[in-house]
Amino acid sequence: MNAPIPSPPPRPHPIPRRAFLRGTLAASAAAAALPSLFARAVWAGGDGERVLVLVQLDGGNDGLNTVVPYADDLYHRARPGIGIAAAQAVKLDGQVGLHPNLDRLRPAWEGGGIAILQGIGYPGPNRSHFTSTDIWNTGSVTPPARWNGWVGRTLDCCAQGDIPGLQLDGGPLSLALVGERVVVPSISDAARFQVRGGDRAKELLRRLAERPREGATLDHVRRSAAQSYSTAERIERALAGGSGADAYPQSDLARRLWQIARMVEAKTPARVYAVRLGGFDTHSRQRAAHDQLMRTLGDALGAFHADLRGAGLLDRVLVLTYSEFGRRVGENRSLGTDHGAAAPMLALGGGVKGGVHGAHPSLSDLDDGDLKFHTDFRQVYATVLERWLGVAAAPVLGGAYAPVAFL
Amino acid sequence: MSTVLQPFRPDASSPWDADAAAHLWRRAGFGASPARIEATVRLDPQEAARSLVEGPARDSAAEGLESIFGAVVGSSDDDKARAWLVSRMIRCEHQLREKVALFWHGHFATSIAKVRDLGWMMRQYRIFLEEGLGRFPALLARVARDPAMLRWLDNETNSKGHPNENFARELFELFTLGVGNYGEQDIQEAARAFTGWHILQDEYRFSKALHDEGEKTVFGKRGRFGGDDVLALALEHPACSRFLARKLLDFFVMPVPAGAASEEVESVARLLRDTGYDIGATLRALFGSQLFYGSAARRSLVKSPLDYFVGAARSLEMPADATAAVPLLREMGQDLLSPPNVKGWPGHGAWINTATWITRVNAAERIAATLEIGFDGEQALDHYGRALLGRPPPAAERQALLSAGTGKRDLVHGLLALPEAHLL
Repeated sequence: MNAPIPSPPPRPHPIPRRAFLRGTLAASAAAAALPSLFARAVWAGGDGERVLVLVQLDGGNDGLNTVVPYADDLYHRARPGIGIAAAQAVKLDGQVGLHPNLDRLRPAWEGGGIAILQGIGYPGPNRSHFTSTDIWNTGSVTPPARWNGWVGRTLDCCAQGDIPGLQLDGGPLSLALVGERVVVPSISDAARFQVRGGDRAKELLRRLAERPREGATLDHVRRSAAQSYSTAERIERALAGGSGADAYPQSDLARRLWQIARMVEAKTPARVYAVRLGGFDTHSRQRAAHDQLMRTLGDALGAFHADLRGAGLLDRVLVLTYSEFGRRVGENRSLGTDHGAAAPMLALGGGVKGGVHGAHPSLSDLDDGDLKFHTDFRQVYATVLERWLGVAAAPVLGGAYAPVAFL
Repeated sequence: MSTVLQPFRPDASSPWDADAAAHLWRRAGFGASPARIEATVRLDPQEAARSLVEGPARDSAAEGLESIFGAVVGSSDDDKARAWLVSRMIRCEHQLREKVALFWHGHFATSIAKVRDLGWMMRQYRIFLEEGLGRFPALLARVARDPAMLRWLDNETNSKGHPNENFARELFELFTLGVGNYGEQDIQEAARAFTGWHILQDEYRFSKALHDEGEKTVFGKRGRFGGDDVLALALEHPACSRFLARKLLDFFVMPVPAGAASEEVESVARLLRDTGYDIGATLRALFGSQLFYGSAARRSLVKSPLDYFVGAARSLEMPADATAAVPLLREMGQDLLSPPNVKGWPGHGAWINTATWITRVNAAERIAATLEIGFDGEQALDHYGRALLGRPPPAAERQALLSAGTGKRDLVHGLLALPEAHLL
């Protein structure tokens, strides 16, 4: 695994599209001559495009009880009250296994569709929820001068058109998606794309947006409205049959992932979707709460994976989980865990190289009671940018990061 | 006075009528009921501009809302505070004060996502309400000392020997000059002048020990500058009045293409300089000008979600639920206290995408559903068309609305969903 690379300069500058393309297309003289054309080739929405689904585990997920080093005595000694018994873990290899409630991920794992990225973190780990979430979302360990996120900067460069990204939870927009040129919508549910009213009223609305009109501003709004109706109708049709929804469990996360599958299928222009699962700040009586979160996460991701495979969409989708930090190795006296540092990330999809990537961080060589990271989270981002979304990572991340071999 | 800012002289092709008065109310406020628009038409255009800038002698709606301010902030419920701000926009009589505060909120674009203190955020918003129509130098001096701003742009950690350039950079780039009008050296030196501008117990506090008293060179001038000296240097910079003129025009009058110089920008910049950056006086001249009522300005902007929602509530005089509006406004892309980035809301075409448009038309359906509609057919179309569009709908749309064979509520729903109803 690659050694972490020093932090980038604190202020990522806005990236001209040309600079973005230089990384991927430098070899082609023709490309240099036609930057905007190639940008469209990379990013034009809809047809057959690759999609990134970010799943934020909000509150600091306990990585040790997610990817469990079940064969290590030190783990069981550190967690006599809340540890996962070796017999219960969903064994991935001779060393580590998944939390038992992630069992619905087993088929995906066996099919080579899950990459477990171990020991992810950054130098000088910050244990504040807010600060560390900002660090993960901005992709900058030092406070960035500009309030924008790594995905937002990516979309700023290369995305075109209507909804380049979509946050499905209706809360304030995740900082990861904040850009300066591009505005990513946040809605609580894809069902909100359904136009209210009877059939005749809806027909009327559409007709009102049909006629080309005098005036640049009016015609812009008119065209945007007309496009919105057709995108919304595609989404509505895709969701209408409820096709495949029965195979998902009952949870907000599952419903949103099902909606994302349908939107990807319907060629909705978004290239990045973001969802959030909260409640990971498990300081006391952790097992019950965390077990439930693992059930919610595992069942939803398992169903999503199976759905994508069935629909022939698996090769177009990459799911990436992240959380602001892992938790301390030793349990506390309230049968919970306090804020820690390094933790694993999960990557799912048809494009990943399945398996466990990187060693589990040592349980004896700790940093003040916390796991040490060996892979910088920005190496993971760089890999996603370069190998999945096809854009140069250095301008987005403000520095070069060695890729991780999971894509 | 320059030609573009000459007082508006109504004539047959550009009369002083309900459409013109509705235009004024949409820009200098959040719209008005047809009765109020009729009353405005009875004034002359200059009187109308003056009355909107000055506001009424007494604003009882504002007083009522002030009385619950402490409780709203004390609740620590961000959405409650947002609803309070939306209520102000719907109900306060001095509409321009609310509109201009929103302008400055987008200009100084501080977000609670980083500040994480509702009380501080609301204190900053109050500066915009109190100083927004006054002189820009006074406003800038207060904002530069505002705890929310000191945290937002990291000046609370800007100390002698460890300068943080964030505030100095955005002061030049976003608040006063715009890119291309300063160098990196100016930023580095200016940052030193703001060292020691910190926060102590929720208040601005100048820490002499952490202030760098050395000589600085900013815009070619040398001195032992402090923060106020740098604010003054920025205000004296020839780019400052143009930068502000551009932003005022872009928000209140018409889209201003980036870069190119224009007579409009030059005229407003001169007015700003001549009045000592008096925002109220500048807006008063603008709202009474030939430029403001010209065809290039009319319906040239896209309504923000607040323009749209608050505008509908005010035009229809309906009892709007500000609390319910907050999540809708967020889905429409305008979450008060959380501007999307340091540059504020980009406005114009960026307001409209599939998610925000469908949220707008679905909100229209709700609005129509709560209305008691006492008219039928053509009568309803005329009445609500006038209220919502400022004039009856164009013939083709009129035909489509009448021949759709839907109910009266669908008619109002359709009117609110007309692309034209989303123009400011």
